[in-house]
Amino acid sequence: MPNLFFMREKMEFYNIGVQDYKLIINAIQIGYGFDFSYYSPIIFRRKILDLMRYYKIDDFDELKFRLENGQFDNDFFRFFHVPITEMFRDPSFWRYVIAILSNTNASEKIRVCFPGCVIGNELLSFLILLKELQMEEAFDIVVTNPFPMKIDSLVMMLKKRKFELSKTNFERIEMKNVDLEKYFDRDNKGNYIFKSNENTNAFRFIKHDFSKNSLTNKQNMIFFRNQLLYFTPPFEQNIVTFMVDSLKPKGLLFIGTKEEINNQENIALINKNERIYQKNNL
Amino acid sequence: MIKALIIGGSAGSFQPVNKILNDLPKEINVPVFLVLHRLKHVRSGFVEALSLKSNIPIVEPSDKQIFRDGTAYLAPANYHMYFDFGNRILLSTEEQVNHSRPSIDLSFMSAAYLFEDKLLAVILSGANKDGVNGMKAIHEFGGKTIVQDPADCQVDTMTQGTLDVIQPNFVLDASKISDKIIEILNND
Repeated sequence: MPNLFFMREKMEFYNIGVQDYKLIINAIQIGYGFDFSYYSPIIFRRKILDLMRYYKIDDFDELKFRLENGQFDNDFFRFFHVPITEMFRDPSFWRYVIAILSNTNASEKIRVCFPGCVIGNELLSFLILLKELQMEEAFDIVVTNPFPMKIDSLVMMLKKRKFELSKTNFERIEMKNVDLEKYFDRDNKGNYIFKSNENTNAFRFIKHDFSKNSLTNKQNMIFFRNQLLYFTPPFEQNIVTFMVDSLKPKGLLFIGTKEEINNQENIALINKNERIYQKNNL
Repeated sequence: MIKALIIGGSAGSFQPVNKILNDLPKEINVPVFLVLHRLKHVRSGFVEALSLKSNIPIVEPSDKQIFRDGTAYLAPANYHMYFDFGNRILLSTEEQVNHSRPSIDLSFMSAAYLFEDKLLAVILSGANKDGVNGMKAIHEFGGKTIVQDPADCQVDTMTQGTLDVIQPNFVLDASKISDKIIEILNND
């Protein structure tokens, strides 16, 4: 993956006009069959410019031509993933999750879903918690991907600074005597690579788009923190409806601390600070 | 006519921001956006600290919240803050910019694009150059700019960096910034 960060400091972010913006979305639909019209325009514009800089494209006509004709590797969808920053973001949230897990005493496997997961900070944080709590066997975890790209593994690489931030978060969870470093190898640049044997067989990938329908297998928990931020309000409403429908009665939906769910009848906010919603016991 | 006031700052900006909030009248007829570098993991306490001396309500917005005149909106810890048509505040968890989230540059650029020449921006003391490109953007879109005098700053990297790239409308000590803001809002 390219380092997208350095590209974000330019004024050109704001130079994609409305007409070009619509044509680019249309070109992706033609070339790749995926609709980005639901994506927040402010952020989508920046991601398009990131894409153009990475592929050294300097005019919109060329971009549109290449998109319409599917000339990019499907991997270009990674440019549009939703970033979840570091691992164990909001330690107080993860402490709450530990409390939930510690009180779990299910007779059947607990189903957990991570929608739209391409990078994996949130998923791998959860896997580490399960490992430390020795609860891996109790869970059935699915990872959904809406994009027309195949994902069969997660390669998680953290730069040193981001790893240190994740480690600090982890320490604030107050997992005693656990060193986060044991889950990582180091590459020759000093980056931290999540050990692949720690996630093999721990979860399943499925292709699923929550904007179109719900999951057949109802879930006990859905992790969707800080992803609603990236969608337009009508789409946001749509996706939440399908997620709520994908929960079992009393199932939990986790969203970001600055996100809100409105106009949903079957779900109640049970933790305001951490934005945890629970489906009604229908 | 100015339609929004945006203020950015980092190390050494707490006192100047407090003074501005203390001096602004409660009937101020624009929204105020505060983009201040802060600890990522501390989600509470900052609004309360700033509210102690503020005449106007200060809130940490939720994503897609509508902004209104007479209220100050503080960029939440560990989120970038943008502004969209329909008077909406948008938040994001994108990568840090200038090692910062919230990034002053991103908020200022977004405000520059939305409000164009109807924006008043203030950059205060700070220890990195986040905010410099944002002030440049606001300047280029025709907004009015106030820079805290680097000689008056606890840390002058942010303000001196701004002066290196633009000639702002005003360079002032912190003690004089709020008077200038009120004068601009009243006379513009």
